[in-house]
Amino acid sequence: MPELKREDWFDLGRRLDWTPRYAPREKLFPDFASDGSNLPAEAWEKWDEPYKVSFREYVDTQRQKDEGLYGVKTAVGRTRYVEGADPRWRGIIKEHYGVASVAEYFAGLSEAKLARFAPSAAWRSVATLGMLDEIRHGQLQLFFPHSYVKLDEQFDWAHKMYHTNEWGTIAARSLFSDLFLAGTAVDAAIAETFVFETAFTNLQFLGMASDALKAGDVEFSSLLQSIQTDEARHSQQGAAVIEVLLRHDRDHAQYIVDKSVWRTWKVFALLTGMGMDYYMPLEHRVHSFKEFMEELVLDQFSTYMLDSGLDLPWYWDQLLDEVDNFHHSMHLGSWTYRPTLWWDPAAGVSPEERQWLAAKYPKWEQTWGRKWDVITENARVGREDLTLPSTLPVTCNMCHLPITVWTDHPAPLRVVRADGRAYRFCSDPCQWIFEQEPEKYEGHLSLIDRFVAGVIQPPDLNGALAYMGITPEVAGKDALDYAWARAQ
Amino acid sequence: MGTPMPVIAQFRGDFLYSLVLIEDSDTIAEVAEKSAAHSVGRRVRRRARPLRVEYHGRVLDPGKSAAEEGVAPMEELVVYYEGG
Repeated sequence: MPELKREDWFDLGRRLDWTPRYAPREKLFPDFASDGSNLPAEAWEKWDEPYKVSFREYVDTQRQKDEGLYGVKTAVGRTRYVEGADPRWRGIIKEHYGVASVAEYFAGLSEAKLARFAPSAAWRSVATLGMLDEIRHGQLQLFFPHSYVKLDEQFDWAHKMYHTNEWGTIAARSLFSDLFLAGTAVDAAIAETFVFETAFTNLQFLGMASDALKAGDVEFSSLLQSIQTDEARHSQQGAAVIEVLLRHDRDHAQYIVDKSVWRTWKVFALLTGMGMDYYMPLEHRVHSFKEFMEELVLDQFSTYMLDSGLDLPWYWDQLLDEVDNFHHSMHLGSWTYRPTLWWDPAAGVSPEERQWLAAKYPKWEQTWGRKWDVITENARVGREDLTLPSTLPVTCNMCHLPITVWTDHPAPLRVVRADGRAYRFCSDPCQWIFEQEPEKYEGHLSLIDRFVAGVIQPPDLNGALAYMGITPEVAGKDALDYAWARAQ
Repeated sequence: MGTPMPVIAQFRGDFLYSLVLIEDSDTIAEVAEKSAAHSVGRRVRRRARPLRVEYHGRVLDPGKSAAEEGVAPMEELVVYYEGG
């Protein structure tokens, strides 16, 4: 039983700090690890988080969460929901576990960096709890799918994914290396907690979770919602950083936000966009991906940015255009390249589904429907070969996703030539990010660069699959074996 | 038998950029066919019209070779049906 009241000791405990005498402060908190803008220490003393938790409270709360959640897992495990689930739903959770599980570990490494190198003691305390959160999330999202590995080998990619050169892995690893691992504590806090967590994770961990509940996957819904309660607490680091940084180096704060919003958008379009608008059985869809993006990012987060004193990113109009189009191109591409996936994607283009898509995206039939018409016919008459890949697509040297277009007269391919290399980009913002810090990116080879350089052998689809770590048992197939095409 | 080289083809009406292996001795008409194979009949309907190739804003001569037209490796070719 504690002897002191919380209000008597908490503020001292959370800001435990001292003036160093044995080593200068700059050596304890070097610029490259801590704060590249070199704010005076006093500036960071003003760092403050609204929702405060002591370690004692943290342990108690987290233990209760885990007890509840593991209880749900045990109870649901008996129903064997996943075994009987719609294969399209299984595709959603397999994709999720692959992208999210070890990514949580990246986030934990980043929080560990903040716990040591954040230039404010109170912030270091919050980051320590954030680090424990992310370790929890990594463990949960490895433990939960592990039950299903014996049922279906594709679930093994919950762990394997980040250890491969699968194309989505290259994209996600580039994102997390850049935003979470490579920068200073200040940069990582803005990129990870202010942008990635506050703006975007709600799309998957609340939006997709609500779809999950409708679909009847209580285990997955509970898991995501439990994870998100931690997120709501540790993501508040970012706003507190922005508040301090804006007073001293506004340009840098804006730059990190602009870069992080774009890079994060790309991966969430792949993670959440395809699942919500194509894999999710029609009867379980709550909102379209665009509707969730409008509510959570374009509306709520943009207001949050402006209220924080930031401007909207300079490419806002391009983001609006992408929200209408980009994930449709990613779905068409990844369904076509389904042998390179660790899940079986639904095509999601039955007549009823296309009606839904056209209602949510008025230009869908004109932009995408015409292409899916050709694919559907091929599938119906048994020409599966024409629906599968015939060559590699060119990927962007920044986001590492296939460069796609949704107009019949696109502008010329964006190319930056430097030191004998050509770097190709899908969009103005991806090119802009490269041009701000080329030394950070120019040594890296995209999948296409590697292929052209002869790294992938043999230089064909089988060689590419082997390079990506995709085994025959895992290589993705259409989730419904083209039943949707034959029904038309 | 020419020298093999990869080029990047954007077929108008398709949504991505394909890596296409050609030979520098291929005629532009052959380059167009090799590029079209990755899009036509797959996501773009076949049409009874000639194919055209544009390179850095210039429409290429279908009878000339890629080498003669100065096509360099890993550069963008825009391929489309005549008449749009």
